[in-house]
Order: sequence, then C-alpha cells, then structure tokens
Amino acid sequence: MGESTIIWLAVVGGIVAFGCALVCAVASVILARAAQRGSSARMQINTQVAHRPAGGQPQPQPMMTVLHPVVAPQPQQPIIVMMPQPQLQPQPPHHPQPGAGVVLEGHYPQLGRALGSWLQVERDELERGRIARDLGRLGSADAARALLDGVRTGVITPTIAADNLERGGFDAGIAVATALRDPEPRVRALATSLVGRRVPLTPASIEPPPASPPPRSDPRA
Amino acid sequence: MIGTGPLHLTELIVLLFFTVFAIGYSLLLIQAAIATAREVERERRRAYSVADLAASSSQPSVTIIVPAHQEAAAIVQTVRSLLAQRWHQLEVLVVANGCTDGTLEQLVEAYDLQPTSDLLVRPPGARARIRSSWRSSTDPRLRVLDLSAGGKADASNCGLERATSEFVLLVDADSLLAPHAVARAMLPFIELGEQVVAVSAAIRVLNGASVDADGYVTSAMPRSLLARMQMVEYARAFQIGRAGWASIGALPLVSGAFGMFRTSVLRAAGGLDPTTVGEDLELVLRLHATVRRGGRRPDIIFIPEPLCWTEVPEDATVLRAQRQRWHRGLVESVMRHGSMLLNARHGTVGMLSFPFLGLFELLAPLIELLGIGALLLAAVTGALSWLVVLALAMFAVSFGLALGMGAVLLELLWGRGYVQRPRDVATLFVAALLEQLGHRQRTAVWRLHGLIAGLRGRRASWGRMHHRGARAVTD
Repeated sequence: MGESTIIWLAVVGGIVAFGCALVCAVASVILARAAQRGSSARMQINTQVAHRPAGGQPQPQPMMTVLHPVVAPQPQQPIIVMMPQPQLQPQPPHHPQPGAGVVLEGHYPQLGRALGSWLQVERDELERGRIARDLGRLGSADAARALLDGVRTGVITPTIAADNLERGGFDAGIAVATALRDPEPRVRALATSLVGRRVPLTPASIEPPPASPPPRSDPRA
Repeated sequence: MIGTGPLHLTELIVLLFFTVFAIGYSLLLIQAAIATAREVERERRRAYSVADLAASSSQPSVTIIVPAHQEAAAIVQTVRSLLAQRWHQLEVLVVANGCTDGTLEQLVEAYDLQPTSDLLVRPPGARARIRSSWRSSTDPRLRVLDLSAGGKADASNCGLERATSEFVLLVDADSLLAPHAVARAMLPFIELGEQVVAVSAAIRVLNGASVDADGYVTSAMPRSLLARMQMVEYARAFQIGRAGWASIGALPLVSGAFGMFRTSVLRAAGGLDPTTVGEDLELVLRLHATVRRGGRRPDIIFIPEPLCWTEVPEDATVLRAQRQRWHRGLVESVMRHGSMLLNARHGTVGMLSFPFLGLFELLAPLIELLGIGALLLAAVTGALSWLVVLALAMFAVSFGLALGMGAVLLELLWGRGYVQRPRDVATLFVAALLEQLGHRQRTAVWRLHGLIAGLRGRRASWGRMHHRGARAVTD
C-alpha cells in the first residue's frame, strides 16, 4: 500500500467524517430551535434566576452556602425492641384503581394483626396474595408473624410468604428467628431458609449494642 | 509505507486497530440511532404515561440506596431530589461511610433525623461497622445508616441488606434525578416482565445546571472547557455506546450513578464486590454470569432518556484520579471475568461487547499512544512522510468529532438538554474538536497509568472533588 493511497483514503475519510459532524451540528441546531419554539409556546414554569450578577452569565451558586457545624445527637444505645410506629403525614388522597392494594397508614399500630386476620378469612386467592404483599411492605414483626401463620394454616404458600418476608427487613427478623422453633415443620423450614439466605448469622456478624457511644474519629488518622 | 521492521509492524497494528475500531463504533452509532428513534416512537405511542404509573396505587416498592462518602456539599440536594420522586412506594436509604465532613450532620439538620433502635447486623463480607441507624421524623421514607469506614461497595451492600423493596435503585450521592426517574425506570420491569434484571439510563453533566422548585433540572453550558469536553464524552458514552450495546442485548455496564435492579437478583449475585474499584462494571458482568447459570437470559435495559445528572470534575487532578480509577476498574473486571471472552454461553455479551471492552477499551490507551509515537518517530526518521501523518491525524480527529456531534444530536431527541440556545451547538462543536486535540491524548496517558496499576494490583485513589451542586431556581 503506497503512501499516496493512504493519504488519499485518510483525506477522503476525514472529509466524509467532518461532513457528517457538520450535518449532525446543523440538525442539532434545527432540533434545538424546534424545541425552543415548542417550550416557549407551552406555559412556562415561573422561574427566575436566584442570583444573577449585572451582565454576563449567571454565576453558578452552590446550593449549600453555609456549612455551620452541627452537632448530631449521640445515638441511643441500640436495644433490640420493636420499632415504634412512625408518625406519618397523611398521604395525599388518590383514586384507587380497581383491585388496588390496601393503602397503608403508618399510624394504625394494629394494622399487621388486622391484615393477618383478614388473610386467614379471605377466600379469593388473588386477594390473599395482595394482602401478603401488603404485609411484606408493612415489614413489622406482627406482619411477619401473620405471614408465618398463613403458611401454618395453609392459606398462603411458603413461596409467597418467603417473597414477602424478604421485604420485611430486619424489623421482621425477630419473628422469623422465633419461627425457627415453631412446632409446624413447614414454618420451621421457611424460617430456616430465610435466615440462611439473608444473613448467615455468625457471632461475628451481629453487632452487640456498644456500651457507650463510640467516639467520632477520622478513620484515616 | 508498509515494509518490514518493528516500526512498520507497529504502524500496521495501529492502522488495523483503528480501522476495526472505526468500523465497530460506526456500527454502534447506527445501531444506537435506530434504537433511540424506536424508543422515541414507542414513547409517543404508549397508551399510558409515566405519570399514570406514578399515580397508580398498585406500585411495586423501590428502595433508593445512596452510598455517601464526604458528600456534605451535595447530599441534602441529592436527597431532596430523591424524596421528590413521583412514586408512592419509595424508601430512601442513605449509607454514610467514613464521613468526617459533616455529611451526617447536614442530613440530621435538614431532615430532623432521629436515632432508631435497630438490630445492627453486618452483612457478610462487609468491612465497615454500622455505627448507628437514623430515621427522619419529617419524612419517614428517609433512613440513614452511618458506617465507620469502608468503600462504596460496602456501603451499597449494607443498604442492600436492609432494603425492604422489590427493586433497588443505586445512585451516587452527587446525583440529581428527574422527578419521574423512578417511574420511568420501572416501566421496562413492568412492561417486559421477569427477564428484565436491571435498568440503566443516560446521565447528563450537572455542572452549570439549575434546578427549579419542582425538581426539574435545566442543563446549561458550564464555563469550564474541561466540563464541556466531558459533556461530549458522556453523550458519546451513553447515547452511542450504551444505547448501541443495549439494543442487541449486550450491555455490559450499568452506571453506578443510576442503576435499578431487582433486589432478589442483586442479592443472589452477592451485591457489589468491595475488592475492586470498578464495582459497577464488575457487578453487571457477574449478573450476566449468575443469571445465565440459572438458565435464563438476563435483559439489561438502557433508557436513552437522561434521568440523572452528576457533577464532573473541573479540576485536572481530580479528573486524572477518576480516569485512572475507571481504567483500573476496567482491568480488574475484565481479568476477573476473562472466561466470558468469546464464550457463546454468555450470548452477545461474551461474543461482542466483552471482547470490545477488552480489546478497544482496555488496550486503547496503549495502542493509541504507541500509534502516535510510532507515526511521529517514522516521520522524524524519514520512514514516513509528514503528509501521511497529518492525513491520518486529520482523519482521526474528524472521526472523533463526527462521533461526538452524532451523540449530541441523539441527546437532543430527548429535549434541549445541553443545548438551550442554538449557539450552544457551536460551543459543543468546538469542545468536541478540542477534545480530540490534546484532551483525548492526555486521558490516554492517565488511562495507561490505570492500566499499569491494574495489572500490578496497585491501589488507586478516589481523589477529592469539590462539589458545587446545581443552582437553585426559585419562583
């Protein structure tokens, strides 16, 4: 392959590539103008630049302009108890779809037990699945016990219970751990598989509550 | 030109490499353009909207996990954008790891965090100790874990252990999301079913952008030339690379700044690997292998619509550390999953995208710099005329420019984005041109350092980035 061939190929290729770049740039301008016309025709969000110096581009301002030191409250000694129900703000009203799930309101502390009772008496299998899903999202110890009871009485399958217990996080871990000693073998098997799947509970993996709040220190020191 | 001797052999290798690279990337560009056009059309024809999904009360639950290390400047803004997501069944879990700059304190003040009494269980293989657990009293969807130290992978895994949802979204602590990001990312899971294991989306550069009261980010042209060049790089990487590979089911990477996964699949794969700095790439390669071992074909979807904004370094020192780290992560991931190379059992990932990663991404800095050196040496010694060198250089620059502007055009299909005014196109054109004249070569040197460090097993540093955040635009 001679030098002249390489030069010819490279120059032609370069011109074609540059031409493509120009075409893309022109098309971008056309699209940008069309988008600009479209957005100006729509109702604008009423915005104004927060800080615009006289003339020139507005200077980018950082969101956090003041970083005064804040002393965080020392964490409590962690103790293994039930989590208190959070005080939720009421959710904005929305229109439920046909067959929608239960809207969970965090300030009903007996909700786990109520759903558990419902699970036992509901005849529709699809509805029982939805209740199980809502119990999984609730994630409390009551909800976990309700799911385990569902397996015990046979109203839900271990698979459905396991899928929803997985969502329970560690708040439901106590109920699952208790179920390891359940007299019903299906419940014991379910609890065992869940515990084994989630966390191989060895002494090294469980943090005992520290005696006093740990001092904050730079780990890089 | 082509005779004998090591110099001529080097030139031949470089020419061959560049020819295959140019053909491959051109095909990717065409594939990406077709896929993006189809996605735009599908979006237009969809019988329901993302807003319908966001308003539905039968939503699957999503946990957003935010590993945060020294992110005091950006964390509150990030959490605000996450809590503003149009999705009812949402949990936001910030995992602060080794923060000494007041990250936790910023969150405590902004969201009135209260310490909670929880069973603190360390995930298996985790290096960090969980110091405390918090919950917001003003917005109970927000939970915070404070870890003693550890890296991003450790923090993400702690969050994954505590996630209570069917899906998890992994984001960076300096990422801002569009308010409909979660709803949009959930669509492929809902529409395409169980085989979808992960969803990725395009990411835009946040530098110079502004955020309105509803949380919508308006991109703008930053002043920094370095940031502008990275805009072109990001557009090319996402709109061509990711879109192209995803369209043939060969996407090898879900960016750590925005990645939605099925919780069960992520847990089955073992979460993120804390022993590599390229944890996002390594995770997805492992996901592919794990799901295929189960006899299924994993679908990893890429949404070309930008849903996430992230700050890019405007300082060359930080950028260098970032690029070295990325390349080192690439080396580690490719070496760990070498068995996927040209392995038909891994489908198009094994046969196409993984070899491309290994050959063109991994070795690119070495071959590029060797090529430049060989050509210059040949010209200086008279083995090659300067005209040939100039012609080849012109072709390389023009080709890179064409790819960059092609990516900018594809980005514009999703709204104005960086181009708020038509003259911004000219700005990006210049940035794309200058990127080929010096910036690309400089990053090749950095990536070569990363390659050597990766092969030697040397630890890379994250560098320290000064976050500015996005400008607040108020009513």
